[in-house]
Amino acid sequence: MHTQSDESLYHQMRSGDEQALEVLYDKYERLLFSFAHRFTNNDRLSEEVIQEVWMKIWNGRVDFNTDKGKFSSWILTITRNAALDCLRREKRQPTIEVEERDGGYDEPVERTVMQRETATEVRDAVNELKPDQQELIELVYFKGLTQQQISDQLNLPLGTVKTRIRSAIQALRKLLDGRER
Amino acid sequence: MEERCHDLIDYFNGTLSAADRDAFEAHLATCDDCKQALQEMQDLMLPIAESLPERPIPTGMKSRILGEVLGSTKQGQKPVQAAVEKPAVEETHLSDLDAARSKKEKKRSVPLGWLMSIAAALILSLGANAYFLSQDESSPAEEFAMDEVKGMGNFESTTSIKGSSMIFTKDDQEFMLVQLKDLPPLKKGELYQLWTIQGDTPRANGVIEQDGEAAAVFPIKGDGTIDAVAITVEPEPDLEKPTGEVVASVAL
Ligand SMILES: [Zn+2]
Repeated sequence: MHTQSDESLYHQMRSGDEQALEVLYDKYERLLFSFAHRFTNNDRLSEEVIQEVWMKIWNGRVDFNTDKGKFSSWILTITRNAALDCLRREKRQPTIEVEERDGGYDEPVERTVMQRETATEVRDAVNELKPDQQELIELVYFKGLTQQQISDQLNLPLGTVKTRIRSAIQALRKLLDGRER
Repeated sequence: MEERCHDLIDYFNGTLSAADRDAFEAHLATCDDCKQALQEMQDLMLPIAESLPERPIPTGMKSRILGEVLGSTKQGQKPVQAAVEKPAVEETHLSDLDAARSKKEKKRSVPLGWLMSIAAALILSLGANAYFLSQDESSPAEEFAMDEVKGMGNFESTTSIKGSSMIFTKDDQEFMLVQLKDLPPLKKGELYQLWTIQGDTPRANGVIEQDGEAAAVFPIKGDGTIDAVAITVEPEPDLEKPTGEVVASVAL
């Protein structure tokens, strides 16, 4: 039963199988949480984002089919969209700073602290790019700015923005390919 | 490069208007350059996500999320209903999916953020019996600490009530934080009674004497694990047993 593909679990889930939902949830919990956290930098908002994602999927407000590539890339796209929406929403609201300590974690406290320290040492792949490329990836992928906003912010012509982004993306891809080996 | 090609990033980020989005999708069908660039951006999503440092998962996240998604309150409502001797809502023979769907539609969910935003202010002022404050008082930005969160969830209501509850410990004392809104108006002399439920046994544990919005922290009476929190409308505070029907409940 462990060999079931995401795609077939997804179809089972869409026909109302709660267990299939749970299997998929478990499989993606950690990946989606660290991914959402990269956008929101906040546990509470990350949880809201992930809840939104599963609500949409369970209710069929978004639909996956194999034309859209792999399930994993698709669910990350949905998560990214939800996280960007969340950031845009938060920006419109006065923020209330109730940081990280609001929940408690599944791990004991000391371990959590240790993991946090390690987390700052483990640099994510984006941090290995050249600074100007890092900034572009940050603005495009994680902040979701428009091309015009990026052009204004970096003082670059619109056309140049697109080519620079593309080369940053290619550089990141090379880096990530290198890591897998 | 055509004019449309400039919309790629905005398409990827979902910031185009509906008309521009449709136009760009039409453009995608004819422009290999954009199609390829978009594919590259999407293909990077998984490796980027996998390269990120892992974050500790907040306690109880899975049950909160799946609970919300399935709209399931199975464990919580039974003891509540048994306790007040109300017949369970007529059993219908829907499939699980239909049941989940109908629950989901009935459910009025409140983002946990709402609970958290106000928790700080309340917990900072712990000490006496109960503290009330209205939604528009802003929460202080200071850090606060609870020792342990024992349970947390959103109320399911037979009326309009929305809200959440959290049980936590601080300095070896257990507290219950509740936040409610859209509490229907009370008649003269009536009040909202909170009950903590252990197994089948309810215990009066806190009173709210206002409608509309309310937030409060109550020290929990007795020991043992609280399975659920329920709210009834009562003529007097802290009765031995509930006399009114349950207007909202949450399984923890
Ligand atoms: Zn193009």
